[in-house]
Amino acid sequence: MIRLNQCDPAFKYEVAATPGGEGITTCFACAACSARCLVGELKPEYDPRRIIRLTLLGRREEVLSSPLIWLCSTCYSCAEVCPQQVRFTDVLTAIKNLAARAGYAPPSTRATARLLARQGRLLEVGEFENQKRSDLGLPQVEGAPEDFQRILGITPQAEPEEEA
Amino acid sequence: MRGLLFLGCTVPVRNLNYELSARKVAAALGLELVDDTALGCCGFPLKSADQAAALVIAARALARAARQELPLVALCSACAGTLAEAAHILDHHPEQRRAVEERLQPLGLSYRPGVEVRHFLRFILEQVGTEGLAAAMKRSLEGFRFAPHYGCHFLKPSEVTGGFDDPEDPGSLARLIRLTGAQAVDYATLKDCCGGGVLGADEELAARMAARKLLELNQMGVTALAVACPFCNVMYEGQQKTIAKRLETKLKVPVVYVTQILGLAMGYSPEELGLKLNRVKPKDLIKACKE
Amino acid sequence: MARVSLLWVERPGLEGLEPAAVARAAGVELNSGGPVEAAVVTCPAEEAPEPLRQRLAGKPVQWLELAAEVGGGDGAHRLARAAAAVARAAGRAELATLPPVYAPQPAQKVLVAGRGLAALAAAHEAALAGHPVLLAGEEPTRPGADDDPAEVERLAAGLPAGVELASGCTLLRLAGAAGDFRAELSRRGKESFGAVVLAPGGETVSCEAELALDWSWVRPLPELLASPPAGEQDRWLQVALLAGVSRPTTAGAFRRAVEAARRLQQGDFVQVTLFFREARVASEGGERAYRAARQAGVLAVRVPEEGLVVRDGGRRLRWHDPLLDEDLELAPDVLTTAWEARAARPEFLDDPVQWPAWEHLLPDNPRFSGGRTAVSGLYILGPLRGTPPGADRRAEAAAAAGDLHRLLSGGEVAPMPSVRHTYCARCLTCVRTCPHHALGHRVDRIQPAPAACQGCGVCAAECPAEAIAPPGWSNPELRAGLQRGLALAPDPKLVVFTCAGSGRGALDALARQAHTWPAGVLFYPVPCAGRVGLALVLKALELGARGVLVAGCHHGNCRSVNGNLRAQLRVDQAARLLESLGLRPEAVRFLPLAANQPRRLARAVEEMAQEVAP
Repeated sequence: MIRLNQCDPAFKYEVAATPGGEGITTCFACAACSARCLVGELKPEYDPRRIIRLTLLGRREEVLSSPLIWLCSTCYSCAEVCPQQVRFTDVLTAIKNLAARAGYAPPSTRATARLLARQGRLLEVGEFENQKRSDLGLPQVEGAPEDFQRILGITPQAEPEEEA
Repeated sequence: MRGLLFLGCTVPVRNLNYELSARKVAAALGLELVDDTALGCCGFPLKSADQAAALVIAARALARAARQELPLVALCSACAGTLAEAAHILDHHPEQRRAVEERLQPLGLSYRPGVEVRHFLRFILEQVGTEGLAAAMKRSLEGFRFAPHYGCHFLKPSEVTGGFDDPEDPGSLARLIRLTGAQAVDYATLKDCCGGGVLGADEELAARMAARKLLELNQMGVTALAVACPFCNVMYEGQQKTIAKRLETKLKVPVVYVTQILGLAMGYSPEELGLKLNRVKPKDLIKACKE
Repeated sequence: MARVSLLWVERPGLEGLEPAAVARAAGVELNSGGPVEAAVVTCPAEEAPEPLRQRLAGKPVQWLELAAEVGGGDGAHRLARAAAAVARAAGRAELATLPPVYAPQPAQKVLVAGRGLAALAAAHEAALAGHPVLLAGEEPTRPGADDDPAEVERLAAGLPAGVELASGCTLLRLAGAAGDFRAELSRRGKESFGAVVLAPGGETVSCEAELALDWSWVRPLPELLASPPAGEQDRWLQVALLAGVSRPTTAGAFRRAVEAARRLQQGDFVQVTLFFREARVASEGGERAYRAARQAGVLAVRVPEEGLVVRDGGRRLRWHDPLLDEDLELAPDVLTTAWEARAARPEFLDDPVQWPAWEHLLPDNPRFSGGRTAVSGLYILGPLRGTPPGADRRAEAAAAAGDLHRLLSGGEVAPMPSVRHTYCARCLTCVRTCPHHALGHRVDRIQPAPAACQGCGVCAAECPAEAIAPPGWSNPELRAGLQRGLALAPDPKLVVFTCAGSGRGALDALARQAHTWPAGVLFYPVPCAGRVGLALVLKALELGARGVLVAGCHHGNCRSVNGNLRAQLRVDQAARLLESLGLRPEAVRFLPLAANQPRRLARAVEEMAQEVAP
């Protein structure tokens, strides 16, 4: 039983105010997105329409803490087919951002930011990698970690956690 | 014809075969690929947690390309999609653009609209055209059958790709493949997503997503699955053995890059195109092209 | 009896057919320019060359869409089908005589009874079409429920010269038919009109009057809109808006409710939940308004019939969400409902002898939109019809005016049914069954109303004495046609009756595809499937058909309201009769059909042909 009086009507406005989330209120639950979603086909608990419905009803904690919202593969099939231009892929990105801010980001996502700050790219290109590249006649690659640190506001030393 | 090559995170480390073949194809077509070794990441992996920061990272790459007055040519579909989407957002949303400009300033960069972002394969189709490409073919791959995999960010969102290819009925990669004389097959799971986007969050789910295509192609029997993105490559090639084990079956689906197919048809040797680095090799194709 | 000639007009679909051979096989003369007594022409009237039409003016002519019946396939079969079609038409042409062209001119004056936008717009448009108009009511220029007062004032100020305004005047009684309505108005007495438009203004009532709500607590929506409430940051104001829960609202009421929801949602810390059974967005701007409301943050909840549980006079609402598979509950701070304009049915229409029952007057049938009712010449507009306010009501009034103008203009000779008064028993079956209210009766005879008759032929099918029929469609003529046609059709013979509303279009499409019909199929077009009575079905079987297929319009789509239903009933009767005689009831069948379903027709004919094959 869900009591609407205990839900948070401001949540949908919060999502709509986040870049990418503007389209969430126009959904009229036609299920075209659910029909297209490959993740939903393989994992029935994941349903774009349900996530939208819970958001519109105002179930803030339930949505932000749900592990399901991180399962979108960003294939954009839902966004292509939506008759009301909800752009669910972008809406879900907005919801994920809110969830991350609330502390619900999964470890893999948290590690990404740290890696980018440390080496300016996800996969390190060190001496070994560059040697392999020159063996094949390919130019060297460097990172620009300072740029990324400036953007992300993280410096590797300041980061308390050790990466997994 | 020049373009600023955007390598992204994965290609220059794990998919050197893609990079090698792309550079060779560019050379054969008279396309100059300029390197900017400090480009780094496009921002895609950061979007879920912090889209604003991801936008700044993408804007940085766009600004660097603008500085050189070159189009940005990416090998990875996710990079191409992210950078193009970033340009689209910055061109249409002044508040977001202002926020990004503020954060770019300390880097000594500023965003300028009008930077063209293209996936490498779209770039060659647009710059060289089918006649130019056909003229560059030196070796016919007639008799070989490839299954094109478009992936998701190559085609969608359609307002960002500007309708370059139809997400409902795509044909650009098939056209490229057919220029080599080979066959491009149509198949039921053509439009499937590889699942790469959820690999970090749920490995089992990602495996099940990739498994659909692998099972169909394994049954059909093709020379190779042709991909245009290192993410897709990770799922279909890198994870093939793991998936096979999970499903308790045998999978033998060779995986190549579309650029490798083009390179072979343009006369390059399998060695030159890094086919040694392919993990599930198309043995017949390699043998036929050894001379 | 006139001698019938065949006039061959070359058309696509008739290639490979030799006119002389067809004429010979059909037993008629091929005309090559000489005088004509009666004719069968191989193309429809609209497509015949003008000189030919002039030559045949005033003569009994059967215009055939021959290509549709010939179809494709084997040359011999095509010849046989062509000959059969010509023969059948010739059979009818022999007996056809035109009714006396003398028909009293329909009265041109139009009565508009009511008030508000719909009434004013109808008066306006009818006058512009050239008809003198009497706009009568208690206060004809007062806005009706839902009307925009400014718009009404504008229309009232700009009434054209031909409109006579009569205030303080009610319509007490109405009788007659299109072209000759007799109205009795208070303070004016009896007057004659060609067409009548009923457009009462209506009153404003809640859409949820049937729900067990605490009406002393429920706030009327206009009151809420006048001073919109607000909530507080830590305590949002929950507003529940019921817009069609006990039964679906009209489209106009829904749009207004949705617009109101959006306005209320814009108040600070207000959350509106909109409940409805159906999202009635089919009105001008309806979809846009619904979307705008959602965009503003209104929660739209669709509940099925009996799906919303109302407790405590409305202070607690509970429903099941099938998507989440959970029960949801809301205790609103404010409850309000949509309202709609409702107009009372005019009492004078309750006379069961004069007028059809209300549900039959306004059939749920897309062919009766634009203000039309089942009674030709009688139009019902505005709130009484449930039409959304604003542009929709203006459009409806314009459509009605256009229709009545067409009706009253005369134009081609009306297909007025002819009555054999010596056979007529005055049983009034035809009067009661005519779907277009085109038959009246005076002391000793049946009186057709020329303006109202649509030539459907239902009267001819229902008359027990064969005393009435539209020209060309009497039972003797149809029997003669069937006989000639069936004589030529090879075994196994199958008769397929097709109606103008559905079969003609389907046959056309198949002819263009050069469709091949089974050999013994004989097509028999009729104006409405309702023309095919029991007697005709049995006659076809008697004359040698092994099967009869009657194709009519789908339920709710008949141009003559229920001609299709009648045909279905007669076919069922025939089937029961056959069964009681020890014969196969599958030999007769009714097929619901639409003009854009050619394959459905083709498939049904194939199935029947196989069914009746020896």
